[in-house]
Amino acid sequence: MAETIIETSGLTRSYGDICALKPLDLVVSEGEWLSVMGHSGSGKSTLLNLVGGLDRPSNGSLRVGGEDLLALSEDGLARFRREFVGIIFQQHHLVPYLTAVENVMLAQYFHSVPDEAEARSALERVGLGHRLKNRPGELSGGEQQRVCIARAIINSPKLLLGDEPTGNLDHSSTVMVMELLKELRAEERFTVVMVTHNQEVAAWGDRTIYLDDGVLVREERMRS
Amino acid sequence: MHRRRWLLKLLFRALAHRTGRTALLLAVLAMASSLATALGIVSFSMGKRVAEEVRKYGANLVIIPESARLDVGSGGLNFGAISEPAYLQQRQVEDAMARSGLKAERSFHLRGALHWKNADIMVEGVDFADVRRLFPWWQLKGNWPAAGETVVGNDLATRLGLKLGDTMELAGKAQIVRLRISGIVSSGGEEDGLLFLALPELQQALGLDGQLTLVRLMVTAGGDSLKKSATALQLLLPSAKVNEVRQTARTSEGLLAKVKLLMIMVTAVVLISAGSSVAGTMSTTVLERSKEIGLMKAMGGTRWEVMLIFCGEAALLGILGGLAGYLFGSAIAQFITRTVFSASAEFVPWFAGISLGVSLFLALLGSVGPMISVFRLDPVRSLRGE
Amino acid sequence: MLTRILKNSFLKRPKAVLLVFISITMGAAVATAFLGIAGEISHKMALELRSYGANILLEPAAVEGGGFLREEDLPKIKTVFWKYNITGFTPYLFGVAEFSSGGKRERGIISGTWFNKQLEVAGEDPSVQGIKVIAPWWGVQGEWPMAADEAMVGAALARRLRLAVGKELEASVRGMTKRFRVVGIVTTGGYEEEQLFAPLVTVQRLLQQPGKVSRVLVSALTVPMDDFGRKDPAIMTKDEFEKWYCTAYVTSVAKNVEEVMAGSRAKPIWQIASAEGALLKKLNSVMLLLTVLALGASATAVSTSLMASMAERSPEIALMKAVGADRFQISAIFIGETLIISVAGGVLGYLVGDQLAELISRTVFNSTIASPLWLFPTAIISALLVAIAGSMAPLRRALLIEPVRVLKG
Repeated sequence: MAETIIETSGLTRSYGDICALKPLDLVVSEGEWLSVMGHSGSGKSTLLNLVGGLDRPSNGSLRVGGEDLLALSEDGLARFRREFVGIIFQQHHLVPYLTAVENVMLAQYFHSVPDEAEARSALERVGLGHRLKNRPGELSGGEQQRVCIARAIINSPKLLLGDEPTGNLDHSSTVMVMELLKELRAEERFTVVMVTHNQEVAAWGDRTIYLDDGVLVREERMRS
Repeated sequence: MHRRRWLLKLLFRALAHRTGRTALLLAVLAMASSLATALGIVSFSMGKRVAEEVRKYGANLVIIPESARLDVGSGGLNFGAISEPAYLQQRQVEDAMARSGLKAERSFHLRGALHWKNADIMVEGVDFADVRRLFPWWQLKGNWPAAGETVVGNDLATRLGLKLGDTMELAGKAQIVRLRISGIVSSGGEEDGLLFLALPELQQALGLDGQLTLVRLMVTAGGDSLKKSATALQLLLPSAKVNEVRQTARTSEGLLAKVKLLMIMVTAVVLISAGSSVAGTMSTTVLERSKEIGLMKAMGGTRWEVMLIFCGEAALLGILGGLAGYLFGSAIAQFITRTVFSASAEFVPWFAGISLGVSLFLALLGSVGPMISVFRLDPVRSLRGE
Repeated sequence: MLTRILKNSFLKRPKAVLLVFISITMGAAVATAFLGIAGEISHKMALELRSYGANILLEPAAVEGGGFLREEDLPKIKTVFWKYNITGFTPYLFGVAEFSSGGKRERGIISGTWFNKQLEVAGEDPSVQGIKVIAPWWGVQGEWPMAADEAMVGAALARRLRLAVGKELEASVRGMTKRFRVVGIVTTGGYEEEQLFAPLVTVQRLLQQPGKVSRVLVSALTVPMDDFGRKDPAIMTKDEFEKWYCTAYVTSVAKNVEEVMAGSRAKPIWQIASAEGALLKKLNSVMLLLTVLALGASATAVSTSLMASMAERSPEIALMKAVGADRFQISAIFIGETLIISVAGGVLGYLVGDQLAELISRTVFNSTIASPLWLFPTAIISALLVAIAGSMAPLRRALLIEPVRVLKG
């Protein structure tokens, strides 16, 4: 049995009166690929943000990679994010004035020291060796998402989070991105938690959980 | 690559990417700091310039012999007859002035009477070069006198029926002088009733070599107050009286204080208003970038690291704006002092510091406020652009 | 719908709206304050310079000492063409007297004058005339004389006669004797320190010169002399003379006063008049330049802050275009917004600026200021113009942007 990387119990997050996440118990083991599915507003992005240390729970306990996220200070959380987590967003969120390679280097900058050669090879690994010097505006959606992947993995995170990473992509780009993630996981052995509403994308994972109105309603293990 | 160099590169990239915005911010920062510089320099030199201007109102200190009475009457009134003559030693006065280290313009006067056609005429010996410089209000018809020439007061000329070019023979106790009238002066003051000739000529005619009845001083009231200068000089001249001419001295002090106060208030009003506008513009542009801040936080940048990037950007703008502002502001100040006082403004290097300071302060002030509010938000919400 | 959009835009982005609002308010305030005081300040400065003392001297026209002016002519000075420019005047009657006090005797000058006299002239506002008005630099220890037997003594004379406030002295002229009580000692550093000052009526009686005055010092607001002012009025054409007479040159005011005082000759005191003219000219041009600078700066500040806030909203404009709004509809929304902010900012700015002008005037000149009526519409309209000018360029640019490019991010 592999080590546990994420462990939550009674995890709750409410915004004022609205309860986005009802008490949730969840365990994710190291190296696992977990897909989170649900409708808009079902609390799946909230869960992802909590696990990634982008948001703080209202109640309950949350341990990721042996760290008690509730106990961390604001800057402790920032350190946790850069040491431990890589995030891929649906809207990419690349810095518009930096080139592809510089966007990757920005992540290195926050983590330790920017290293152009390393950033370059990361982009080569995601198949963007020919677009190093392009700005995000000059890249297609799929290419931008691959820059995001390169940026997410550059610091060798233990945990890769995807917030609908393929939500803006067409079918062939989606497949390309997912293939890439699968390959990288085989090499880097990180854990993946990916929020999606696409059954097909969810199927790339080992296990899928379904959230509805902040409650875990169903869990499904893929045949491996 | 070194972190610091990368950070700098990042900053320049961010500024270069948004050319329009950067130019706009630079322009307003430069404007604000040039205003600060220009107003600063102008008010700084205003003090001096106005002080120079008010000197045209005449002497602010007079030295008279201890035993003498002031018989000078402003506006042509003269009761010279009632006072006994008493004299100052020119050498002593010069000595005392040199020793006191007083910064002052001076003019020597010897008052006396010369005999002309069975009547005594009040005459005054002066150095005409000093008079021209220090008493710019003399309205002279004719020419300034050369050796052997004289200038006659308007009233006296009318009374005695004297005209330009007339020659007079005046008898003193020691000598007789022959003088040609080269000019007629009117001032609305006591000068209208006097006859003026060169000081040495009068001293010889009266047999009073090296003696004076009055010294007028124009002290540039610097840090030392006029009163102090007067006391200091008095100590060195026990045989004389040093009087402060309140009409010019006190009024000038009051006026200078008012002009300075006015300039300070005007500067403050303009700077506060322009400053708040500039800080506002600055914050608008930071507010707009909350998404970027959220992203950097999501990527694991601590608050200080992200703050460093954005404040660095603001500081860079501030420095560039400040430098431009200093140059531009000095030019404006130069223009103002040239046109108004036809003197060039002093070169005040430390205003570069003020200019930089104002620009940096505004840039940071404008960006720190909104940044703090952005920092309070969690990265998720800033990323969503709330 | 438009109102609803505007309402929401204001409520949803309070910070951005507030920033623009503040900037417009500040701009309008500076404009109001400067325009408000710029006109007044040269007047205030001129008044300020009047404290250097009288600039016109009225003497008997007769050259040979003897003549006198008539006291009964004095009130006419307040009725002349330039009466509003005359800030004060003081008559003097001089005589040589024997002073004695405590066994000490001394020859000196006695001056009869007005210290602080209430002057009522039919048809004119009552005014206060006298030394206190025209010679504020006098350093008086003690009180100004009020009663007929009170006198003020020059510091030098007081020292020699060992006089102090509260003591008495006798003045005698040609057999007439009068006792005075010393109520004040005056220090000026000038000839005044050798004199005794007493009320005019008392001295007229003592000198046996009832209703007579030896000279009058007049303090008048004047404009700086220029080349035209220096021309000799005697050789002017009729039109030129008219123009000269109707300009407040020190010479024309002097002429004006001379005309009402029988047997008088008015002379500008050039020491005061010429320095004042030069100084005034310079102070005025500094203020003018500063006003231009301040107005330019506040206009730039306002329009740039609008530019910044407008540019920030190009995604919004692109979105509106994408859902089918045409350029006029979009412009209506944004210009409407700008109009509302700038009118509100203009009004508030006017109020603030008015207070600022007041504050400056009170702190610097110890006097209030009445801002002219035209300033209110000017402040609002200029706030509007600057605001619209500032938002026009970014709006036009935003309207040209294709919606796709902005929305793509």
